[in-house]
Amino acid sequence: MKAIIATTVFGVIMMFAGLWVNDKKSIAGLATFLFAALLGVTIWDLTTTSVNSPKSLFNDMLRSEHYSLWFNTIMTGCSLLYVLLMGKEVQKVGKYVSEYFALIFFILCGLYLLSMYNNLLMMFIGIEILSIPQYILAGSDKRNLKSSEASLKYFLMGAFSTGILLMGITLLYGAARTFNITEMVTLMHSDALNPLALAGILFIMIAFSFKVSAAPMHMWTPDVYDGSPTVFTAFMATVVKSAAFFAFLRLFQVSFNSLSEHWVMVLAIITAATLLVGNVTAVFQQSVKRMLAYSSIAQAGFMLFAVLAVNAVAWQGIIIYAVAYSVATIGIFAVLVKLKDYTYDGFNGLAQREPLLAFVTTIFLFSLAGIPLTGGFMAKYYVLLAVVQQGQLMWLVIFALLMAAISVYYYFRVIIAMYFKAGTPEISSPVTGGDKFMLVVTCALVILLGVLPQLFLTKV
Amino acid sequence: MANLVYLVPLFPLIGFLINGIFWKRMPKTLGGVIGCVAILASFIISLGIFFEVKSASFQGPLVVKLFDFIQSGNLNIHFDFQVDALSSLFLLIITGIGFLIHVYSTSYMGHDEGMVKYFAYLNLFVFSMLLLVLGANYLIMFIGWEGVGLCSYLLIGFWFKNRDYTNAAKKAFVMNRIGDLGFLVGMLLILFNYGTLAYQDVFAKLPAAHTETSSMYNWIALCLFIGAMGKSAQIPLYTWLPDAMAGPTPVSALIHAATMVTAGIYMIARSHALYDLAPMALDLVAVIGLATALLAATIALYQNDIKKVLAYSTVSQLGFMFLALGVGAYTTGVFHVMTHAFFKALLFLGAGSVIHAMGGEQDIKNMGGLRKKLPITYITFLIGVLAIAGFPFTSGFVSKDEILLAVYEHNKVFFYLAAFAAVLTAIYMFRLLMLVFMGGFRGTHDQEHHLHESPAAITIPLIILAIFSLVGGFVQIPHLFGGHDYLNQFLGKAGVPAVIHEGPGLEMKEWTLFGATCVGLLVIFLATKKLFAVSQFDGNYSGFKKVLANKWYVDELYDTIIVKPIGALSGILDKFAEKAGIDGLVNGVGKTVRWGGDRMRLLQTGQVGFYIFIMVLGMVALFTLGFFWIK
Amino acid sequence: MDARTIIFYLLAATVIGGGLMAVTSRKIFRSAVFLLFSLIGIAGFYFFLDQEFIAAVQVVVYVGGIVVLILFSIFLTHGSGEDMKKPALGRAVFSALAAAIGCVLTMYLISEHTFQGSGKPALEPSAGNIGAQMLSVTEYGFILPFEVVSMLLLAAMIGCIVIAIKVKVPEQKVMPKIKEETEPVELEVVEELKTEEV
Repeated sequence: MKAIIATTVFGVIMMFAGLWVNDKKSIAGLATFLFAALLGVTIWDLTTTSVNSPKSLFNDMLRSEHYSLWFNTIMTGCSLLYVLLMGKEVQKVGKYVSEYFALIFFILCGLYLLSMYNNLLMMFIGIEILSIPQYILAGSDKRNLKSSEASLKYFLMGAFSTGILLMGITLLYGAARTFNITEMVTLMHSDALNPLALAGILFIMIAFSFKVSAAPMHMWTPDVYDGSPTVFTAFMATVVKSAAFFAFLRLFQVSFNSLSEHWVMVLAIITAATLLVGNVTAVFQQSVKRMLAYSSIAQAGFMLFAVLAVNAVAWQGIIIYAVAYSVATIGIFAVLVKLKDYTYDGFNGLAQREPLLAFVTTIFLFSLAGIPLTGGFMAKYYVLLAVVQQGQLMWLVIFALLMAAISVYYYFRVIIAMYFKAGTPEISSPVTGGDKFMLVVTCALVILLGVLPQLFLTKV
Repeated sequence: MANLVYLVPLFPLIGFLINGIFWKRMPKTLGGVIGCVAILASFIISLGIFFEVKSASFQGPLVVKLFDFIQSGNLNIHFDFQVDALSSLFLLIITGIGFLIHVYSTSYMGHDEGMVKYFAYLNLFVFSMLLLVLGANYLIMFIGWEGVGLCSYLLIGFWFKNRDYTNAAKKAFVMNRIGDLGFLVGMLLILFNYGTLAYQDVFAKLPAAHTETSSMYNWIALCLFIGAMGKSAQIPLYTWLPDAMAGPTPVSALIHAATMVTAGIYMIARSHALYDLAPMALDLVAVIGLATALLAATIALYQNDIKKVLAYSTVSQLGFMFLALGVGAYTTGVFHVMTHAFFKALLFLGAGSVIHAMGGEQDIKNMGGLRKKLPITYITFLIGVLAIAGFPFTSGFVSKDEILLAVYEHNKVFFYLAAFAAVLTAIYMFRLLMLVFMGGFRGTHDQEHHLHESPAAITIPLIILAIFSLVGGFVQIPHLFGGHDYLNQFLGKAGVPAVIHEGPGLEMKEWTLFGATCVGLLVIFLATKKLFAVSQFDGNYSGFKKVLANKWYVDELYDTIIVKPIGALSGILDKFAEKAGIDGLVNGVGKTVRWGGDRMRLLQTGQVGFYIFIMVLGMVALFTLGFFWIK
Repeated sequence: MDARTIIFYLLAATVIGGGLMAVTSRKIFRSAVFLLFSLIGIAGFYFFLDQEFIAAVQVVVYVGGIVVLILFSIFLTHGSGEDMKKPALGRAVFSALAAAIGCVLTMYLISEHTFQGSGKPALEPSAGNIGAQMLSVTEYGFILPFEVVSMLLLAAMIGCIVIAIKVKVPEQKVMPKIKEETEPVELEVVEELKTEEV
């Protein structure tokens, strides 16, 4: 709860900072400081809440479970990492730097709500708080038509999915007679499930599929991720997506766990379609940024495994996947913004010009591809393990492994371009010592995740 | 000493980090020294561990716990190392031969720009390989497994300026991924059935041999074997290994002959308890091994690239090892890994010395008569050839003899086929030897002028390996000649069962084999000269020989049955998609299309209405599924 | 057939008819006006169900706010008087089909299965009660959602300003987009920009 208040206040502070401070650099510095403070607050929240007895807040509107607070802390950490890596780039997008940071703080507020909600109403509001700042960030580069287009598309389609979500919530309320997701469990029974409830579950599933860009609701992703300013794409594709996934998992794990026989097959088909579309289409991309958009769809396919497996390991899976995926992707985007040309050819010969950049990118790509001893491997391992322990859907697991093998192809294309092809990549902004230091830290995190995943997990 | 086992992989890791981080700034010599010292340190500790394991006081496998790796629910996977006879033997092979090859590389790669980077990769490879054999559970083995694949990829593509080289690297990686998929599925099946991945726990849960049959054992064993196929280059996933010769020669010696490619054999020997319960999978191992041994041997007969001959010979020898495993002679398979590591590393390094002397020339058409100019290389190479051909009392003789004997006990048909493959081995190796070292020089004048014996850093490893190739087999020499099966006893400590060498019938067979080998080799040696027209060799073949020289057209076959149909399918999709009217919506995007297969991308027409339309369509489909199909 | 039924069907006809016309009309201005009818019909349903407060909110927010805003923005765009392009036949058919399937599915669900009441005592839906609940922390208290929604609106407002505020674009002309319907602030900004650009 403290974190929710803090992030709102910090957002407001950032807004006012824009009035009084004209220097972009000091605004970014202030933002960095506030993000660090926010991390402190989330840790404070975490340490002051008992592990075994979750605190219920405001008539059970929110419930601060230990794993929710842990997720908050980790994702705030990722946001801090993001600001440290890309704060400089945010300044370049446009004039309203303080507003951009304020919006990011508001997004984090949505994230906290989504990790702790215990009421469908809060879930809905959380999703909206998460989404609306994103529509704006997507369109923040007003000099670029593509950015405005991305914003508009995202907004229109987001509105459509909001409608679906509301429809689902309504039907569910009608069938379960409550908005409270823990109470709901006792009111719905698998053997006599009201088809209205099933329709509600399916609607909510589809709306969440949109938010996490799972097929067939993924169509917005490439356009929006490609069109938005790269710095904000990095945030949208990582922290925001993880938050949506956590909310997805929370609802389906807490409320619909016992009803899984009704929906698990539908979600399995969504998962298979997502994996297929994401991986196969990514192979044919020419632009690395767009490839990363498809790769985020493919990675979503893996994260869906956590939702599919209704057991305790799934929580750990989603947390480790969220952090492993976020850290590696933020790292890649941090390298990407340094380049002028986002196509594969733009990476040609990077290893010669900026060996460190090329090296860390390689590690990040290894992680995304799921090569052992990087975080990505552990993440994939955990989510697949969750499903394997459930004892069903082995076909899907094997399919996912096959798709992971395909993904190696397009991730390694970047490595081949960097190391095995000659060229002179154009750098858009100088790579300073501080950048290098932060990239090395990020890279170390990726490897630490792969070697000691325990550090990032918590009791569920 | 065994408690210090974590130091063994630690040194190469440190070496990798130092060389990897400072590769731009570090002088070449220092990089080489760091690389070598790291492996030497590992080797010394491995020696200590080996002798401790060998001592009578060592009780059973020792699991050294490092830290908790994965903890979730009731599943608990530790990052542990397992020290027992099997792993300590592999440690010695990896670090020992690895060290020699590192030393060799300091000279061989001395002129290369990226030498420090090369040593970084090489150290990383050794580190991964050590993880692979030291791990106490399948997960760590898999981590090492992926790691060695990655390093092999990096090292094959080391000279990336040549496009073929990067293609070879890609091919190796893709084929290995196919194999890895099998391994992963096998691992998941184990996890699913036994709830653990630790070797000791899994094997403890297996029933005693042959008391219970279940197809599950066969499935798991089969999946693991698919992994082994990829890594150890067996039919149908073997074509990457010959292509992998694009990398530097010491890499071929270390990775593609002595260590990495034997990972599959290690895995099966490690999982022998499982394979004992899976007779069908075991038969498949034997058949695939035999078929690979034969096929690769026939291809090796007419190759003109010195490294390709050795590569196919490696594939063939790996086939022998799998054959041994497949007939249940696990220790024999491991023994052949050891002797093969000696003589094949020797042969590759010798080939490297020849290539070095010839100024990068690999085609044997242009060689010949090198024995005078490269005496040390010649003698050591000769020893290697004798060993691989199975000249009595060399290491290759002992191990191959043991394999043949074990196969004879198992299945007579297999025996004759395997014996034939062994004869072919001798033929192509003698051919290589003669074409390279005998007769007159066929290359250009410049090359002849340039010929010289390699420096000590190259010849000393050759000499050491030659000695081992000669005497390395004594540990397991047949009882007939006063042997004591030291290796079998040693491996027996790890619970790896041996085939019995005793028995009344065996002595007779042993004599027969021995006699046949002696006579056979003599005949082959004399016949080879004539058979291959060594004196007027021009490198052109016709008829059936051409089929062999073209590797039975397997690459072309894969191209026809896999690559082309996929291309055709994209073509059909292309047409279909265009007819379906998507083309009209595409406007402009079509111009950037590279090939026909990416129609899926074209669905992204950029029109919100169309996106929403697809979403609605998807929703309708999912609802139909949710309501009418699932319930 | 009593008066209630007749009123119900009249309201339903307004809602559905308005909606249909809004979708099919080829003049964007008329579409907006038909939308108005549809929304008024829904307000009528709330009155019909004795939910006066919600009915009033529906009228004030949707009819008075959003639709008027839409009408204004239509006036400000160039092609407001012209006919819109006819949609492709295929797409029109598919859209109709999708709508029909959605309709059938909903009808089927609602006619076959019904919602049940929660059994908890109902609260008088007066404006006073609703207002009190919005700020209450007791049972049925919604202070947290209420406060958080205000934060949401704050974020939306910042967004509008960031999007709508003028930037100097030398080479390409970029029209600011209408992002948030609920913001009156936006209208002024858009107007300002328009006059400057023309």
